[in-house]
Amino acid sequence: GAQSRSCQDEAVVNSSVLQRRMSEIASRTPNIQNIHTEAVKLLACAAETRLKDLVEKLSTVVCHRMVNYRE
Amino acid sequence: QFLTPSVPENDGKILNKQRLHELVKEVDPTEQLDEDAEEMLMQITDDFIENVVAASCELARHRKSNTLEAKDIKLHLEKHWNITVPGYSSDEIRT
Repeated sequence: GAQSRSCQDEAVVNSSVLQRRMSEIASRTPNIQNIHTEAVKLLACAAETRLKDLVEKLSTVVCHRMVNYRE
Repeated sequence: QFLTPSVPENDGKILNKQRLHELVKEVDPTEQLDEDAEEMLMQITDDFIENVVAASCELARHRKSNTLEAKDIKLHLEKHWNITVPGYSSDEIRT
């Protein structure tokens, strides 16, 4: 059936760079010779989720800093 | 469906800077990202990828497989990062 994906077409993570980076890291583990394309897509989405979470936290910190400044 | 080597796009950085700034604007339209913060987010993302791929490779090896699959990454993300990506439910991953 049809699958839904949460990430946008134009992702924050550069997939070709991510793919290269994943191959570099995977080559350090003995016996791992292939990386499935779905694994790259999943990690790109997960990295975007992590970034959104970080940016939201940063936004809270910035608001807090501005409140202190006004006082 | 396996990977073939490809040439890196853009400036070879892991993050698309324009999309990163758009992401910040989506979270808070009044906010701007300075260069240091941008670099730090790049570093944090790189560390995150390193951690997830290294641990997921160990999970693939534990399955006695020579292929890193989405199910390995999904398991590590859920157990260690509490991250669930919609569209990658357990049923889809198992097949």
